[in-house]
Amino acid sequence: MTKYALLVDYTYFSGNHAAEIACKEELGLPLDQFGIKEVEVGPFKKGEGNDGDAWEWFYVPCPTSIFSDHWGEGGDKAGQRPLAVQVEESASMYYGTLEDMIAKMAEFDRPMVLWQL
Amino acid sequence: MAYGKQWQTVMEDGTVVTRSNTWSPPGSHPVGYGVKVVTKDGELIRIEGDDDNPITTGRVNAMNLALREYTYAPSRVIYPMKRAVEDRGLDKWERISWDQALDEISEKVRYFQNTYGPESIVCFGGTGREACIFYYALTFSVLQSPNCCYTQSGWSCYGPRCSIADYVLGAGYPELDYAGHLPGSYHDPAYTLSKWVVVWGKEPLPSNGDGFFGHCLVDMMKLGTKIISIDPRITWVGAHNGNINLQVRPQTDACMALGLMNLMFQNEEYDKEFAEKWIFGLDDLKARAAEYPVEKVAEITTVPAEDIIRVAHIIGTERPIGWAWGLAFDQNKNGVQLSQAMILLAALSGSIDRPGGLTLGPPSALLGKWRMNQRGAMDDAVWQLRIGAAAWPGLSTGMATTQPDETLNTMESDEPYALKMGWFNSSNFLAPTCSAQPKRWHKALKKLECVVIQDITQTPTSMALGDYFLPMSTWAEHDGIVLTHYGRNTVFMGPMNRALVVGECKSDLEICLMFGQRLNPTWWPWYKPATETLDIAALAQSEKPVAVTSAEGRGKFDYAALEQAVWDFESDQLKELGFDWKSFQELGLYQPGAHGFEYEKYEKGMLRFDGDPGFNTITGQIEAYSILYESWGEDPLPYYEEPNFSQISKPEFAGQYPLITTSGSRRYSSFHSEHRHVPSLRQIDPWPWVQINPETAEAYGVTDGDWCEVYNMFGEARFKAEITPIIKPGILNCAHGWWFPEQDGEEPNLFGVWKSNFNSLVPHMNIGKLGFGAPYKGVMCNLRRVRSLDAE
Repeated sequence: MTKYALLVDYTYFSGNHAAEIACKEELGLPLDQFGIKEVEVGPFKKGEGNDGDAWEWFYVPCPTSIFSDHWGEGGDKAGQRPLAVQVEESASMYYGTLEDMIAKMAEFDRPMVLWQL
Repeated sequence: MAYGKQWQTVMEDGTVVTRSNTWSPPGSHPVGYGVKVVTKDGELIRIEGDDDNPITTGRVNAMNLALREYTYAPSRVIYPMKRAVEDRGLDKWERISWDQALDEISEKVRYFQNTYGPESIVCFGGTGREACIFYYALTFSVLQSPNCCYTQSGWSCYGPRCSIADYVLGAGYPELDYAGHLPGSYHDPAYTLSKWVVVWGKEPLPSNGDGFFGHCLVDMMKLGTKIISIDPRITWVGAHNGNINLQVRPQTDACMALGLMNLMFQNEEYDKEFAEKWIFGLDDLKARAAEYPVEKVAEITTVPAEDIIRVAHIIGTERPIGWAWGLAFDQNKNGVQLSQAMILLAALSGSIDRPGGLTLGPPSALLGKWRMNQRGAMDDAVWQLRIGAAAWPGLSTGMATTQPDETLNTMESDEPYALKMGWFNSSNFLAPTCSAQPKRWHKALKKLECVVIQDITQTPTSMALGDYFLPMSTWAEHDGIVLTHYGRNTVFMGPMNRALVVGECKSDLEICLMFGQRLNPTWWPWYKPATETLDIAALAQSEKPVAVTSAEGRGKFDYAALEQAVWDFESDQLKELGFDWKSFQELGLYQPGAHGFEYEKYEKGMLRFDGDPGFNTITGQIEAYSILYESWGEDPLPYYEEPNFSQISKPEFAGQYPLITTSGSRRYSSFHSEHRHVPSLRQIDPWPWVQINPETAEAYGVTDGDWCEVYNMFGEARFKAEITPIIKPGILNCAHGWWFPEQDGEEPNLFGVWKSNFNSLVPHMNIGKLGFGAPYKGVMCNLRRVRSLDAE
C-alpha cells in the first residue's frame, strides 16, 4: 500500500496554529484532541551578538495518530489534501506520497522534518 | 489566473461552497483572506482556503478557521435586545423585534437631537473592523452628530501614521510593497523583491495590521529577503539567520531613526538624487540629525553602536529597501516625530513608491472617500462643535473624529456641553483595548441617558452600559467589500459574499441603511421598505432633522428591500471602478496592478489634486521641515524626547517603579478583546501573560507560570509570568484585551474586566503636542508575585 508523509520546512513554519484548528474542524475533533499539535523549540540564545544567527527559535507541527489514521496509508482520506496543509499560514507544510515527499525534501538546501504517517 | 470563478457552487449532496474574502466580525483587520465558506442546509460546516487567491493562496488564520465556534457560541447575541436603564449592569436583557428597535431608538435620537442638539450624541467605534468604514457614516450622516470617537488616548492606532503621511508625505498610507497589488505577485515583471525589509515596531504575522497580510514576510524571506527588526523584543522573524535585530529600549525609536539618518548623511550613503529633488528642508534635517551621534544613540536606545552603523550602511546602500512600520509609531508620545523620521529614512533609502520599497495610496479612494464625505451631512455650525477639534488642529485636520482624551474630559465635566446619548459600534473599551484609565471612562459613561450597543456577544462594556443591543452578522453572513487599509492604500479589495444567516444579525452597513432611512433619508436613499410612505422630498427640504414618529411614517422591516439596498449601495461605490455589485462579485478580487497602477506616482502627477508632479503637501515635496507642524506650534523637524514615565525622566520614582512595561503585541488566538469565549482559541492562550527576562524573574522570585501583579502610580493588573530571553532585563511585555467571559458578567465584576486591565497603568492625556500618541508601549512599573488572579 502507498505510504504517505508530511514534510515540514520548519525554518519557516511560523507556529500560527492554523493547522491545529483546521484539523479540529475537518476531522470533527473535541477540544482536547489534536490532529496536528505544534511544539515550540526555544527561543534561546546560542551565539554572540544579537543577529538572527545568535538565536534558536522554531516550531514543528506534529501529526498525531489521529492525523495518521486519516491521512496515512489506507486512511479514509489518504491521498487527499489535508485542510491543515492548505491553510497553514507560512505555507511550509507539504503532504503527499512518501516517495514524492522525499523528492520534495531534496529540493531544499536547509534542514527539514519528514513525518511518515 | 483562475480566480474569476463563480462565487457560489451547489454540490450534489446539497453542500454549498461560497467564495469570499474575510473581514469582520469577528474582529480582524481588512486582510481579505481568500476563503471558501462551506455550508449545508443553511448551517456553517467549516471554512476552507481559496487556492486561487493570489495573495493568501489558500492560507487562512486560526481565528477565521474557528468561525464555526464563534458563529454558534452560546453567548452570541442573535436578536435585538433591550434592557431598562435602571437595570444597567444586570443581566436583564429582553428580546425585541427590529421594528421595535428601529422605532424606539430613532425616537430617542430625535429627542436628543431636538432637545440638546445633535452634538449631544457620541458614537464610539472599535478598531480595525468593518465598523471603521461605517462608524463615521453612522455618526455623521445617520445620527448627524460631529462626535465620532475612537477612545484610545492620543488616537494611538494607525490614525497618527495616516495623518503624518498626509501632512509630511502628501500621500495615502505608505505600505511595504509585497506585490499584493500585482496579479503576478512576487513574479510579476513590474516587481522587484526587497533585498532588506525594516520591520519596525510591528509583528505582522499574528497581527496583519491594517490589512497587510503579515505572512508575506515569510514568503519574501523564502525568496531571499533579509529582515532588520527594530523592536524591544527579539521576534520570531528577527530570530532567523542573516537577519539583524536592533533591540531598542521602549519608546526610544525616534532617537534610533535620527541616529541612522545622521550616519547616512555623515557617510554620504543615501539616495542623493531623490533627496535633493524631493525632500523639503534637507539641510535643516542634516543639521538636526547631527545632534544624534551614534554613541549618544547607542546609550539612549541600549543598542550597540556597531549594529546601528551596520544598519545605516545597509539602508544607505542596498536596494530595494522595504519598510513595515507598526503600532509602536502610534503608541508613543514622540510618535509624530518618529513617523516623520521613518518616512524620511524611506525617502533617503530610495524606497518611496518604488518596487520592493513602499507603495503609496492616492489621497483617498473608494469607500475611504465616501466615508469622509459623510461629514457633509452636517452644517458647519454643527461640525464646529466637534469635541477637541479647535484645541487640537494637528489631530483634527487629519482625523474626522474627536480628540479622544478631550472626549473623556468632556464627559467628566459636561464642558463645553453634556453628552447624552452613546452609540457603541463594535467597541469594548472598558476592556483593555484602547481607552486609557478605563475606570474613569466607566464612571463617566454611566451618565449617558441612552446607550445603543452594536456587537456580537455581551461584553463588559455592553453589560455595564447598554440599553439596546443590536446583533452583528459575521463576514460570512453579509455582503460587503473588504479593502486593505480602509481605502488609504487599497493594495487589493474583494467581495464578502453572504453564505449563511444567523438569527436576526445585521451588518454595519445594514444597520446604517435601516437607521439612515428613518433618520436621514436624503443621505441614505438606498433602503426602500415596501410599506414606506415617507415623503423624502419634504424631508430633504427641511433644514432641521424632522422627527419621524407618526405610525404612517415608519417603514416596516423588509428583508428583501434591505438586501437590495446593500447591493445598490455597493454598486454606487464601485461605479468609479466600472463595476456594479454583481460584476464585482464575479470578478472575485480587484488588484490595482491589473487596472493601471503605477509606481513613482509623484513623478507622474498622480498624487496631487492639481495633477502636477510631486507630493500632495504644501511644498509639493516630502517635508523634513513640516510647514503644518510649525503652524501648530510643534517643532517642524523630527526630534527625540525621553518618555515621560521612565526612570530617566522621573528619577524620583525610579526606586519605586524600576521596570518598564510595553504592551499591545498580538497573538494568533485573539483580536484585542475578542475571541476569549471561543474554546479552541482560548486553549491556545488561556490566561493573560507577562513576558519577563529570566534575570528579572530571578530577582523578583518569580518562576514560569506564577501569577504576578504589574503596577504603577496609575493602576495595576494581573498576569501569568512567561519567562523568556526575548526581552531584556528590566523590561516587561504585558498582554492586553483581557476579560473573562466565563465569569460573572454583572456589576461590579463585569466578567472580571478590572483584574487584568493593562490600560489602567496608562496615564490619561500624556500625549504629544499635536494630540497624538500615548505611552501604551512604555510606562514605568513594578512587579510582585501574587497567589492567583484573585488571591493575594
